[in-house]
Amino acid sequence: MLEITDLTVRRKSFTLENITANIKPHSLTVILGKNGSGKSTLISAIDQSVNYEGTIKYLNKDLKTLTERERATIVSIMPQHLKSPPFSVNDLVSFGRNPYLDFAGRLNKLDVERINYALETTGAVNYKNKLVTQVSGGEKQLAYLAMALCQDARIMVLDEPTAFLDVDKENEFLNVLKNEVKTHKKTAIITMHNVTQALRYADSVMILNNGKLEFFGSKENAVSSGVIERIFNVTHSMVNGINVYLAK
Amino acid sequence: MKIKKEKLFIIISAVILLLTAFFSLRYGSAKLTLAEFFSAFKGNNTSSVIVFQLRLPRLLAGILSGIALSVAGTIIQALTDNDMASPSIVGVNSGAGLMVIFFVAFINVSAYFLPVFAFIGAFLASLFITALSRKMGLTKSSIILTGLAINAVFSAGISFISLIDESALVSYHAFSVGSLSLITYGDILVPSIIIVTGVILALLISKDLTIIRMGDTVAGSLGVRVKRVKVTGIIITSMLSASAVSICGLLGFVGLIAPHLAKLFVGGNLKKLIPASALTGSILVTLSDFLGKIIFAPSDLPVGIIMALIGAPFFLILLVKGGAKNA
Repeated sequence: MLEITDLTVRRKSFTLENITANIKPHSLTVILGKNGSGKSTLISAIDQSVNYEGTIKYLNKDLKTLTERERATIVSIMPQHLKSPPFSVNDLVSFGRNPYLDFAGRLNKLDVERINYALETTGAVNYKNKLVTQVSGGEKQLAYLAMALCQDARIMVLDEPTAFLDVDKENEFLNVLKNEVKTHKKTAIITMHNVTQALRYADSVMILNNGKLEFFGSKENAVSSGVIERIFNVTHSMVNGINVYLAK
Repeated sequence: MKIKKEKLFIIISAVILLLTAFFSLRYGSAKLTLAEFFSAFKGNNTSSVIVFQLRLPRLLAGILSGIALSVAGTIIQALTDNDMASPSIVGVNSGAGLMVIFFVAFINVSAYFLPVFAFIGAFLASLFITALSRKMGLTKSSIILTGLAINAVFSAGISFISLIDESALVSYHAFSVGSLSLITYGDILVPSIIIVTGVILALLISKDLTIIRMGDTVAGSLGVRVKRVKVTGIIITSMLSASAVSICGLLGFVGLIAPHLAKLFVGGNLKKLIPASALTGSILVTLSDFLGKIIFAPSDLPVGIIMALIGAPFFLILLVKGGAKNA
């Protein structure tokens, strides 16, 4: 569905090299990798904010050739560093509908439904009238998730979206995302640091190391291949049916 | 509850503006009795000259420059993602000013074309500061320091020209602090057209400008044509600042204070903030001008001095508050 072919991104002191991966529809793909492995660079390429060689296609449409507005209905992006703009959480979430609005920017019934759904699902409804500048880091991440849900793009790309969340909030966040993938047939691509948490929610796993694609495949293959132990220098054990990875 | 706050803001501001407008027409260096004041509306006499040829154009000039500077400030704050920015702080006004004084001194152009030259100066200055703040990721304080440097260069140019051209020096003082005295309808005709156009354009891109405050990446992924909106924003800012400068000179602080005050009541969504700032800005300028006119009557204190008296402490408070937050 999202076909990445021979993707190479050259940056000053870093190159993301020759990434080829066909990301399956209606799945949650987790991109794992140490700091500086190229996770964020890959995401920048998907969101067209860096120059790259190779192609990224969605249903055979090259993302490069689409207008911003066309792309906005296909890919939504939640970057790693979220700004705190000086307007309300409700406004922020509503802006998720921007790709569908006419010139006057009026919200129709469907828009309002989507906004309410997103606010309810993420719990952001509880602080929707607060300014984004006034909410906690975790609340802000959930608000941006709500915006992405509102945007209703086929592919949701999220860069370290749970960095500021406590473990229970992180689970809540990932459950919302997973549910969105299942019930609304979305495709989610998400970068994470915590390997154990990542494997609890992932359908597919992509592992980057020094700008190269080290592994791409199902979660089961990722676990059985031993690639995670090798790259992250961790040991694997099963606890209550959960793959747990601990630092050696 | 929020709607009430917004409505209250609009009602109170409108009342203040109307009262200020009335007092600005009613009172001034020439004392008119109530009977004389109302006789101005009846036909050609001394009072009608005072009210309609001296006071009304000055009032309109105050409203127009207040609207222009505050809307320009609102847009610059969005473009630079920095609430401390304003056309005078980042050097857009002095860029316009330098061009105006240059053409007045060396090239004998009709006053009608001044806004055009002012626009060129303002455009170059705003292009420079916007590119710099985005490319280098300038922090809140460093953008102000950069503005200080830009302002210093332009102000040096302005002083230099006013020294070598004596006729320019005469109006230099009033020009450099910002003044509305001796304004005629001719002075505001062209700027008023540009300002109305600028505000309409600003409202048209207000949603996209608001979205850009979430960062270029997010804005782009929401379908906003980030580059186009930014360039449009820079052009609008330059149009508005240039018009304001050609009306009242280098009037500072309006573009900083008005958006801040308005934001307290309507929030940071530019769809509401632009009209609210415009209202606040026009009150600030007309009220300051009125106070300058009557406090030391019959001498006429330039509006820029009153604005600075209010604005400088306000700016310091913001700086200290912002500084503590970003430390």
